[in-house]
Amino acid sequence: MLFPQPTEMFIDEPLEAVDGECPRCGEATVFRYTLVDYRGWLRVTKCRSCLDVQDSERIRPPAQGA
Amino acid sequence: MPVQQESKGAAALTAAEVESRYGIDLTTAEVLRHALRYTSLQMEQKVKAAGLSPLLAEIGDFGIGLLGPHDESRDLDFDAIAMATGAPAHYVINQYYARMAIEHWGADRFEPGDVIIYNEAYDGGSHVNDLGAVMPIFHEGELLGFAVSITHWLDIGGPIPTGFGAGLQHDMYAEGIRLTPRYLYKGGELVDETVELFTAQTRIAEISTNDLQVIKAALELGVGMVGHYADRYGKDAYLGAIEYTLDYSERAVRQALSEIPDGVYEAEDHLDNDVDGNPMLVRCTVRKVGTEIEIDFSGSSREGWGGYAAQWSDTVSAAHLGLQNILPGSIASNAGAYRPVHVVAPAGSCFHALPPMSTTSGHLFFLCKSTTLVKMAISQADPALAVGENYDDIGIISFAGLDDRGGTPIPFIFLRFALGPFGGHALGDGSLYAVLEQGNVLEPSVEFEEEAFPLLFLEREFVTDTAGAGLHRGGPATRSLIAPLVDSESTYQLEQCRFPTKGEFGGGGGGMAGIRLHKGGLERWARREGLESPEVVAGFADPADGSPAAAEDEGAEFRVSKLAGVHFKAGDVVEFQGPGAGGYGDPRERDPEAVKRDVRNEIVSPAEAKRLYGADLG
Amino acid sequence: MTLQIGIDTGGTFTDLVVAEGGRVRVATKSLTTHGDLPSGTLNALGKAGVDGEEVERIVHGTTVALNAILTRRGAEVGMITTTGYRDLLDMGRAWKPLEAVTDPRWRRPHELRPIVERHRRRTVQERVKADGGTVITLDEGDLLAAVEGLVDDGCESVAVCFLHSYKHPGHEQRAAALIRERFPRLSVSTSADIAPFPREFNRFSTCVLNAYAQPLMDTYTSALEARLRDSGHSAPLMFMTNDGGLSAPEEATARPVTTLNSGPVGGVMGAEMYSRRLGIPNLVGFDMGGTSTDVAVVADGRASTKRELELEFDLIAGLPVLEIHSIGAGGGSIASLDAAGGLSVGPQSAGSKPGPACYGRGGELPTVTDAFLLLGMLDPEVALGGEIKPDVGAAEGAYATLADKLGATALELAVAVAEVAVNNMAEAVRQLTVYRGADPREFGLLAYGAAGPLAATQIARTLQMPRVVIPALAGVFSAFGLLGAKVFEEEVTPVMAVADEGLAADLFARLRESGARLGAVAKGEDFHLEFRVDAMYAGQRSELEAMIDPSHPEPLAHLKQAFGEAHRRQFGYSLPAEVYVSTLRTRAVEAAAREILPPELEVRQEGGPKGARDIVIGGRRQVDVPVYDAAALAPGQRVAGPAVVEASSYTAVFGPGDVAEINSVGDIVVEIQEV
Repeated sequence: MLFPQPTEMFIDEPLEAVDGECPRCGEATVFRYTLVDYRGWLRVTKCRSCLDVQDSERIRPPAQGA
Repeated sequence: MPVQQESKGAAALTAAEVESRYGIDLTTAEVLRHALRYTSLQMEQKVKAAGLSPLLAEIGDFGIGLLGPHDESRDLDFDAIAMATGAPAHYVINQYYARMAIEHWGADRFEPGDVIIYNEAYDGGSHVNDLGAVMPIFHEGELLGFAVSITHWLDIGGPIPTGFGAGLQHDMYAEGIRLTPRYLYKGGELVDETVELFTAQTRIAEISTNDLQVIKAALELGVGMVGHYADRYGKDAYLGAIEYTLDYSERAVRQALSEIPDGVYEAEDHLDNDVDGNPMLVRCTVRKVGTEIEIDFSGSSREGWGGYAAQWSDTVSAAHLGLQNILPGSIASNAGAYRPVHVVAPAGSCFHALPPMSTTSGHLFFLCKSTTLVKMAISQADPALAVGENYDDIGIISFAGLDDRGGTPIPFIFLRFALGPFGGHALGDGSLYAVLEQGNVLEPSVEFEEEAFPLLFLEREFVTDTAGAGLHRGGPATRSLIAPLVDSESTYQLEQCRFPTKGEFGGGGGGMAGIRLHKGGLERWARREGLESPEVVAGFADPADGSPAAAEDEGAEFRVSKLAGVHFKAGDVVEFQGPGAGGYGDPRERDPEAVKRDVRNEIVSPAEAKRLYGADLG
Repeated sequence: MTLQIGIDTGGTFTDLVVAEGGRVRVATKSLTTHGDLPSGTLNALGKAGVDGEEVERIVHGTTVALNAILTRRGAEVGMITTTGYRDLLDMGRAWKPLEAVTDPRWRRPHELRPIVERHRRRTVQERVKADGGTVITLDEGDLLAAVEGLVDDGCESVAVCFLHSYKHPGHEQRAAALIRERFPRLSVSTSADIAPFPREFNRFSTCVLNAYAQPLMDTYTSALEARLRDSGHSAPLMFMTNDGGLSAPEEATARPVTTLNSGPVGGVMGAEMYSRRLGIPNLVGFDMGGTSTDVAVVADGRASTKRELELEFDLIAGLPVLEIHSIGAGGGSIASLDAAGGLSVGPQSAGSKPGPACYGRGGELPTVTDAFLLLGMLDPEVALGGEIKPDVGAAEGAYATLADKLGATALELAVAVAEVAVNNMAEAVRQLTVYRGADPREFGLLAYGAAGPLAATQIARTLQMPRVVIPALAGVFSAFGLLGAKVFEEEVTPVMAVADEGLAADLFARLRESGARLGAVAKGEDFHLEFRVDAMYAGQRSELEAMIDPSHPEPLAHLKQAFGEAHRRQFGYSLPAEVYVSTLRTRAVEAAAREILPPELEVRQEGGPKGARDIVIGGRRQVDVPVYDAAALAPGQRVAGPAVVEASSYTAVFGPGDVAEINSVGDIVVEIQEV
């Protein structure tokens, strides 16, 4: 797969807000986004405050089409 | 779906716990843990001793080690269990590069004596120069893991000798030969048509033929040693020891993480220029809670054409490397050590290239920047951990041309990596001169280089008043003068020519780097006349005549610090100066005896001693 | 018959061996007297009881120069070097040691404890090229002004180091002549003279270390010679060098850097003697001491050599030396647990102060010696080193404290520590064998030093080595080995080129000429010639030495074959590639056989065990293991393991399956068999 160069000058990881507070620390919103762990790419639902992971799914690297 | 693993306690396991968790006694566990590390070190020595390429034998630009098997009951999935390396940049990458190649090839397809090679950077790699290799380990018919390596090839074909073509290589199609996984050895037999890819398409045919075989010999050493241990202790004990070894490193990293204050830490820095000459902002946010850490590179510049991008796998490596460096003590590098770290690398940023971007050159400068960002961020968590910025760049200068000293012209390619200083920190001054954390280069001998290449290395010395000031200062810049004796084509890549290195907690930045040209300077140098009126090659210049300018001068133009296809003439003198390193703490608090020593040794001039340190030593 | 005396001055003891007509007559130990070294040497000589007898030579192994460098107690030294290269000593070779690869706070040993600080490193205007062409002529005024500055600053010794000097020494020689003329009391070392080999950092480092140690060596040698003369000893004094040769005092004084490793080298010479006498062509020499373990390899009867001697990281003597691989693992190595529960044995050592916990000198940390004591390998009733009664309670306490953290007993932890230590040492042996493509199953293990014989059979078993030899004089083995050294003269010629037919023929002619010159100097003494090339495959960057026959009718073919063989021995394979020759070396070696035997054992009845004790070997308890007194064993007697043999200067432990046999001179040869 080939991709066009992004038009934005600075790139942020898109965060999808997920309803429901964090079960560990009570933070109001948790987020769905992608990251890399020791075995590769994951799509996670994670609290950005206490780093608790509620859900994670192994995915292909974005360059190979997620 | 598996959720995040329960935090494993940092405390040591009791002998009884070791027995019940892993099915082996403590003695066997510790003996095998040490043995795995030794085996990977010996594989490394084999490559260094026998490699013909200076990139392997002296620069040590490779990684090598062992992967465990796939065993769901033990939560093992071809994980890295022991990694040795001439260059720490390669510690982590096989967790992706090798594993993705195994997946691509098919784990069931391997036979004893096979060696599969590949260099597809977009599949968990770094850049097309880094050749990956895997060799399966079988024990009584079962796949017990792999011996793996990643080795930097001095030349990988393509339009630029050495492959570093910042600014010239528009995209990935302009880099060199690209290999999806294929046989180098099939059942112990060398596959000639694979070797021919190298002999026909790279500029280093003989080196390639030798070194491909050296890689196999080194991998075979690992396969043999693992077989020996599996025979001696039994397969189950070996697997138990693997789990033990991974968990051990995980405990060590979590223990170290727990000692960093919880918080959110940000850092930002700039790359000197993109392909258009504009600085590139890079950012990092570190979130640390308990024994978990997330390193997020959001907010960094988008990927750029001409090589201004790096692979996500490199960025993840850099995150681990930055963390390993800032943490005191060293922790054996294996998949267990990598478990507590999450990395966010937004697709399409300079830290996560998407095809068709070229990443050959970006592998060098972005790998260093991402490592530095992590160190800078965590430095803020605790002054005890902070280190001033070192010469964080794999700066290179290369010369290629025809060597005519012997009568018959012979093509040559020469590549030198810059080395330099480290930053001050809580415990003391930074080192004057050492290899940056991504590598571990053995500096080549000038006498050997001058025999082998039509080049003269006129000078290589520290520069007064370039060390970042501080309670503990950084190391000074090193300045080299190189004179080609024949007309040459050159590539250079250097950082910190536009912005100085940064100090911490009141420490000052180091002197800036730059490259200057003294046209026909060799004659004047030989006549001891001194080199005047240099022309700026990389750094700030007066556009009227190219003479050196200060960053703040009206109208000063910045000449990009990464370029390929540059021409120098026989007898020119190229002046290549690296940056000074950042200092730590308030300079006014520096021990007066230390300032005296710095002045006596001409690291700091009397005038600067007064201005920066308040010391009167005129 | 005339006597030969070998004296090895070590850190704690000075060992002395006297041989008469090729047979050892006396072997004794005396305490080393630091601060007044000659006294300790004379004390040892006094104990030997050889006054009035005719002595052919005294062979001396000493660590005077080495200790001066390691403790930074050498001379006030300055460095004169090529313009543009002031900072090589601080730059080293840029690389970092393994433990510091991810440590941004690490600094080079020379930065932290300099030999020559930057202000005493002066550059002068001079520069030659690789081909000898002059870029800048030596500026003599500049040179003398620089040296004057150093002298004014208090320097008593100076190192002169110019680029390419090993091939083109003219500038260095001229500089040295000028300096000596103007400053006759200044000690001058020139790099091409001290280490005529390529690689500027290696050569300059060697030259600086020589300049640093030279005045001290001069003082020591003069004092020792004077004391010997005053005591009526007029025998020639010879110093053992790093490469197994002998130097007269003037030579050792001018080039102390050639004697840095002279103590341990005695052990390697001893290993070569044993290889010959016992007919074991492949032998690993294993010397386990208190702080470190030294390993050497004899293959096909010849000890392997190395290109440099490392004192500290990037503080090196770049000279061909007998290869000794040293690891920081010894009897005093401290066992520790890291935060994650990993067990380490060493490299920290308890040294001799306070020493292992069982020394009872206040050491509280558990060491390898403490483990050996708890496992029963050492006799709790026998004084350690002949001097110290072991404190078993202290050893138990040290181990219990650490074992508590693992919920284990002191004994269980001692088992683990001993096993990890044995494997660490097996790894050191692998470095010189397995990882060079050599199979340890084809090697014997020669174990000596204070603790070598204790762990030897366990190490051999780990590596599947079939045989262990414990030499009769294991406790003073280096002093014994010194007597095996032969005098040789060497001529070194730099080359630095790829060998083709023409060059190979030319090089062989030069070697023959060297041989003729050395022969003329030898003047009627019996000698034989040895020819070596230091070479590498074109493109490689580190030399290997190969023995050459320069009378061979096909020079290039012979060179490639001989070098290929050497490469195969060192790395396990050879290449069909061009050979790059770095240096030629020709040696004239004295022909006299230097075989020394320990004293013949008297014929006597086979001695039975003097006692028994339980021993834990390889994790298993062996009950009532017989303990023998070495002095009571008869020639030809066989002892089956498990067993212990105790001698005055060592203890040897044999496990189940080991079968030991005592030979006519008291060496113990052990066959290691699978149980």
